[in-house]
Amino acid sequence: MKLYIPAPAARAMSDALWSLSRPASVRNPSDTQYLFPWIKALDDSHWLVVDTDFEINVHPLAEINGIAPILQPFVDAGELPADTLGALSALIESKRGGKLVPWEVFPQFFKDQAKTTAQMNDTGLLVQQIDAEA
Amino acid sequence: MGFPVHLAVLARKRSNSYVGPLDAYATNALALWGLSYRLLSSYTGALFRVRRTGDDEMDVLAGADGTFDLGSLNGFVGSDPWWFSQFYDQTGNGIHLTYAASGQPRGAIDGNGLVYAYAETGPNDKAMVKTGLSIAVTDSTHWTVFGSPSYQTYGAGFYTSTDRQRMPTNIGAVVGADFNYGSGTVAQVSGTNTGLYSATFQAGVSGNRINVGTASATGTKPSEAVTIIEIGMPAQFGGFQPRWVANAPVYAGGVWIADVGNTNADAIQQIGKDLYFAQ
Repeated sequence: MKLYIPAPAARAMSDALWSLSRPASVRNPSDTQYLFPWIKALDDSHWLVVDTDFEINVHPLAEINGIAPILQPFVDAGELPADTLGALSALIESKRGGKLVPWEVFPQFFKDQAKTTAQMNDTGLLVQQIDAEA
Repeated sequence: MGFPVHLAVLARKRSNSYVGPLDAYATNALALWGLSYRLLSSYTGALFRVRRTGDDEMDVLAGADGTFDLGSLNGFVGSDPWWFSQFYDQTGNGIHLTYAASGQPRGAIDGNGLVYAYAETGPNDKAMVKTGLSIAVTDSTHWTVFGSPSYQTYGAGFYTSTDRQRMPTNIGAVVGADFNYGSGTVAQVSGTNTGLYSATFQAGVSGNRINVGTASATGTKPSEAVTIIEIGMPAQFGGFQPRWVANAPVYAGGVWIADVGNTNADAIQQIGKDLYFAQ
């Protein structure tokens, strides 16, 4: 399923998430750099387009490094629990060398704001597309 | 994996002087992506980049004979699943199609030894291309599109200029006769996508080709110089579907820019290259 998550730092977030599978130390410049695509909505807000079923390999060197600075402001603002980063770091360590469905570890704060494509259209963030007549 | 290479491919390998299937249509080609062949003889770079299950990646090149390096690809991916992380633009304009991991199409080799891409899910789940190519058209009242290659081309394309993400979908283009897609009307969309721009599209009308000169689009110039492109070449729908459709093989793609109906030369002022909007 495809869901849209509001993410002002969508590019950085997508990069950091892909780093769990391909840390910068093993990634070439021509390699895949992002886990999820993103869009700029009609109100200029940025949304991460999350495939909720997509599974990644977690690299043995995976760290929370790239994700922490993105989530920290939400923790500071009280929008995420204070132990969010610690719990996420422990989870990543436990998954090293294994598999992970990123959507399953998204903080509930973000999941609560997720929208489907239809909801994005209904709220005027995306324009409904015209179907073929042929 | 492991299909025998088609005789036609072997025949091509014997040729020392490769002629690209789209050499005659290079004029106004904005971007061309081909999987099994170099579409232009002038192009010498990699055709695409693949990611295998372990997340390692590799460029796949074409030889002097124009065909992709099957042995190298097989050696890299083995019998495991693999995905396309990039399709390289063969025009030299640098408009490579680059996908985030979750949007990457699966790769496969068909019974004729040709590479193709397909979606694992669908329909209409992911755009093949959805990007912010910024092309400012500076002529007076009409603008754009569709330099139409003719019979037996390996790819064709369209582009539609809109305001932001307001675009009609399913606007037409086809792959060539070599790729065995359906016949009949290729694609036809009439309608209005926004209040800013009214478009009537008729792209390709008969058989498995686009007739020269039949493909065009006219309309009032968009109010802002932001262009959205969606393009792709599924082979089994008798036409063009710009989104990945589950299990529909895609072999090549391209975009042409052509001037229509005025005496002023269109100016392509800016071409953006942020292609991570594919979703």
